[in-house]
Amino acid sequence: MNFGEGRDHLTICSVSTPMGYGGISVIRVSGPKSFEITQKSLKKKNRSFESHKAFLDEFLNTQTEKSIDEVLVLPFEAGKSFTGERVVEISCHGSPVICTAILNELCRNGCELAISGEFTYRAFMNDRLDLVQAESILSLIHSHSELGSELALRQLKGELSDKLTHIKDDVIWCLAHIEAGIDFSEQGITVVEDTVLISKLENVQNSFKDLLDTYETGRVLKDGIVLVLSGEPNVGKSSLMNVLLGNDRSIVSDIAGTTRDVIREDILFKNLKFTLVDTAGIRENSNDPIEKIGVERSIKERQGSFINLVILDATKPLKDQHELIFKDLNLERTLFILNKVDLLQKDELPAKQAELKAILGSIIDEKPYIFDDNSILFTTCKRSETKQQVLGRVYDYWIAKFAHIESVSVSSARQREELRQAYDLLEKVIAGLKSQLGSEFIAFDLKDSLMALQRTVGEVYDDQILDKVFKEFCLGK
Amino acid sequence: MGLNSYPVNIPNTFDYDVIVVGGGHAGIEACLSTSRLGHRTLLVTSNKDRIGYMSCNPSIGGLAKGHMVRELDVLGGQMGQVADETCIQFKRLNSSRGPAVRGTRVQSDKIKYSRRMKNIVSTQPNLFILESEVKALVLDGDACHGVILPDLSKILSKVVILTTGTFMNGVMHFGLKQIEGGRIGDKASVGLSDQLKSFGLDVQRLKTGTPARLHKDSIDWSKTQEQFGDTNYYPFSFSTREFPQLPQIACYLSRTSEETHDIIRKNLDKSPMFCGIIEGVGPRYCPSIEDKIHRFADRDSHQTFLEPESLESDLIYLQGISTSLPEDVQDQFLRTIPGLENVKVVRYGYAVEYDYFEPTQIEKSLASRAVSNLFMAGQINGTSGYEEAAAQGFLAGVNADKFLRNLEPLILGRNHAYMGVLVDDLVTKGTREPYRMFTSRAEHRLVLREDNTIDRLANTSIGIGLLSESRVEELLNIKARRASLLSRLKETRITPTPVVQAKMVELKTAALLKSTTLEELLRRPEISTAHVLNFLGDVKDDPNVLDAVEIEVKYSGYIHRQNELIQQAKSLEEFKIPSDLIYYDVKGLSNEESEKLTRVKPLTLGQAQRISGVNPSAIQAMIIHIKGRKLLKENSLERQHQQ
Repeated sequence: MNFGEGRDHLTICSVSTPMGYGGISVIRVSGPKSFEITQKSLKKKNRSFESHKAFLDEFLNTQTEKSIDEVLVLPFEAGKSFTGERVVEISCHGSPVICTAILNELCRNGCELAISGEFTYRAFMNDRLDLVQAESILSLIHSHSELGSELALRQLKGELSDKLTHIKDDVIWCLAHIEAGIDFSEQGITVVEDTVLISKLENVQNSFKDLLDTYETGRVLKDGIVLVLSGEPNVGKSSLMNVLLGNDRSIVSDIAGTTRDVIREDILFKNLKFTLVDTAGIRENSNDPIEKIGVERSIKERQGSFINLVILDATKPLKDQHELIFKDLNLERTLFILNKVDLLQKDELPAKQAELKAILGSIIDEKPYIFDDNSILFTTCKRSETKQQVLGRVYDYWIAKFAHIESVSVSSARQREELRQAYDLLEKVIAGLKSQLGSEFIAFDLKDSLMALQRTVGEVYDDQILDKVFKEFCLGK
Repeated sequence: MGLNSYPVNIPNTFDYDVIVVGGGHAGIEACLSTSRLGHRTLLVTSNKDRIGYMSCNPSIGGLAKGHMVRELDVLGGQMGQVADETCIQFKRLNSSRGPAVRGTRVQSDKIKYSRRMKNIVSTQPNLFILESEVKALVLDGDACHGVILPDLSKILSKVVILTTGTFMNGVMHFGLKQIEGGRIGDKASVGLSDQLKSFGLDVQRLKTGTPARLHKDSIDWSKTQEQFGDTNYYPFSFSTREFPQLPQIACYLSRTSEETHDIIRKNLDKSPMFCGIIEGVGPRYCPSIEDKIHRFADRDSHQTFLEPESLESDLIYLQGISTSLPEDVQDQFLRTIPGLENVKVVRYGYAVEYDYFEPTQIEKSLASRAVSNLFMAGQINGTSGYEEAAAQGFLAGVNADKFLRNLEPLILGRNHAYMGVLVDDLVTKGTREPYRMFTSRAEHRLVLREDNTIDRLANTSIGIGLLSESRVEELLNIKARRASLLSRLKETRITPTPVVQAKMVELKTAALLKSTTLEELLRRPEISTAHVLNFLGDVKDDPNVLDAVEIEVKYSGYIHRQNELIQQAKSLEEFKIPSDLIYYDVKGLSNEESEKLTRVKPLTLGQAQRISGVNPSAIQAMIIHIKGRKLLKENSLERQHQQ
């Protein structure tokens, strides 16, 4: 990354839409000469570039005088654009050939190709964006769903920043009062009671917790739901995977243990990305060392998923299932698929359900878990509605249990890391206040917490934060 | 203008190496350090009898200020020893809070303090005193070569240190009446600041105030509450053996009432502060009584301490009630305070307005940027307080020595001393109100404690060379005893034998579960060093060693984290800014930021970050700019190389 010296006064250009064939592509030009350079290649001469007024024209190759494409030109005056500089957005037909020709033309007339992340860098430098907003642009670009886009837009509008700033004010208030208590103790004033500080900080802590809870929503909306399929060999995991995918990705055979490795596939359902993970069948006494590794990976994979699908063969007695099937399973995040129901009679189903409940009840004795009937599904891979049935249930289940759609949410791992730190430090502060720890130590922890919070909104920078943010940007954004 | 640039026209002979203008707390430390470091020094003061005079409250130290007095003592300053010798009441403030924010404050016998300081200054070899006034500096271009007296005679010197306190263009306000002067009974110094103003120096006004002095026999003490000092003594100076030397006295507490406030409210139009006569900004943390009543309208009473100024006088200082209201109003409202119904005022309260130089115009050595060979210290730099003044006077003296010997200046880090925080704040942030030190100004507060002053500064002090051989030995001895005790605590293990467990019961602490070092045992809240010494048998030592080690052990977790933060901050603190950087060229800086950075000329990004109004994004922009510059240079070098 070298946005600094030497490039400051350049006018830069780049294709802002993904490269490839599509309806349209947008080329963005930013910098002091963007209007002049664009004008040079337009068919109609002496146009007046009015901010936010689009016009149609032909974009010419100035050497051959031939038209490259019919384009829609949208100028933005300095101070009113994304980067804060004069910007022109040129919409052309979506073809790499056209885009490249236009970029060549622009560069011939004085533009430089933009470095990855340079537009956002300029916007940041010109105070058009704060760090959180810069990150949310990244989220917006990478977002795989409408919900995700909406979330990223909210952050872009600064809602998360606003919320954090609000919390920050409370922390600063407490810190200021603790400091005043230390430095003005001679004057015989009780600046603030510890109980007031404690209750205020507990509120702040709750706000942190709420925000931290939204992280999963943010991540799912941005990166999709990770769905892990596991079960004994030959219960139909791969068949189900194929039904969900709608093609024949996994090798399916009647020989147990065909899927030895973990297979991942992405699909789009209700505008949300689902990453389906098919794992090796879980069984013991396998003499195949490679398969053994596969089993271990299957169990591990389940721990990192948002939702587990545990597939059971409904035609066999459930109590015969291998015990590893239920090992380290987070029941709150698990849906049970009783597969091959086409081989059963309809009146057998309630008994099957009861049988499963009984087994689950016996394996989780440490804490009473209220079993959710929605977590059991009867399926058959022979029916085409199965895809709708399974993914629909997963979607509803996740939304009901884990999503925070209404609130502002935290979507980057960096933000979550900082918030988590701020939260843990507050815990120390509150404990310190309750145990009458020296005020300077309480202030120290609180200041540390405040710093983590400030890093979240990007108020305290170090090399790494900015590097981290800008590195993630792809060209032209 | 670098410290080491000598003027072109150096006079052939100098009368003195150093001239110090002003005999207050800054001037004393300045002239003592230069003369002790071997420079022929002249102290010019308008009134010999007012050397080391406490113009306001009769006490030394306090939160953060006490820290500085101790630092000064270890480095070789004078204030701590004299404050110890003349202590008439001792207090350790915040003693119920943690160790980093405990502050020592002594009430000193004001007459004895001043007399003792005058004696030390008068008998110091290499140091001469002239009772006169400085009208102007001898200037050749932008180089200072001495001072000009009222009879226009010149005294030449290689260095001048200005410590003029409240005297530059000083105006005293008694109600709406104004008298020229820097302190009651002393003339103002006129001309000096105008001369410097002509160099483009930014000169501003500040204000400070002092309360009335009362005659002790006119007070009905039965209506006040007696307040004694502490009886566990921790003198400022590591060399003080006998403490306290003087009889200890009590102070007396009383309070203002609604009636007091009514009288003051009714007369606000006679206060120069409220009718706009005073332009100077006063200290927000030490407001006058009329200010307090105006700003904290909901409070029906303010406390005041009646403090005897000296064992030798009848004067009582009325702490917390500074005022510039007319004398008749003072008489009226004072009489509403319990105990003061028939009070006789010996001297009325008043406010002083004076000139100061915006301190971003000096280097971290306290040398002026605009005029070479000139240093400034104390209220002239916008500070308030005896301790802040003494700290700067000392540093100006030491840096005058460094300058004369062509050595690097002494710059204390923010993680080394409150004195370092003081200078960095002044030079970096400047000030618009009288600057007072607070513990909260030090971001590395947990390692800037009174108890570890020696550990922090002993080596620096030896480098300065002001301590006598025997005092250096004493310092190193204390350091060594602390280190040895600490290592013995780390090495000595006790095992859960019946004898040891019985001891644990006796100490009211939990039984041992396994073999434990004494250091681990000391971490238990209920255990003190005295307790663990039981297990070492022979060790006996004074609090100077025991307390410091205990704090180091008990709070090691926090101290460790603080040190980690200091390490983290280092990358910015050590990121040097090229001196030829043109801030207006740096993309991403606002005009205001460029302007501030250009004025302050920070040496490092760490310092730049502390300039108020410079946002973190500006620091980022500077990093990118400076790194980009380097890259550009390297590339062009490479290209040249290839050609």
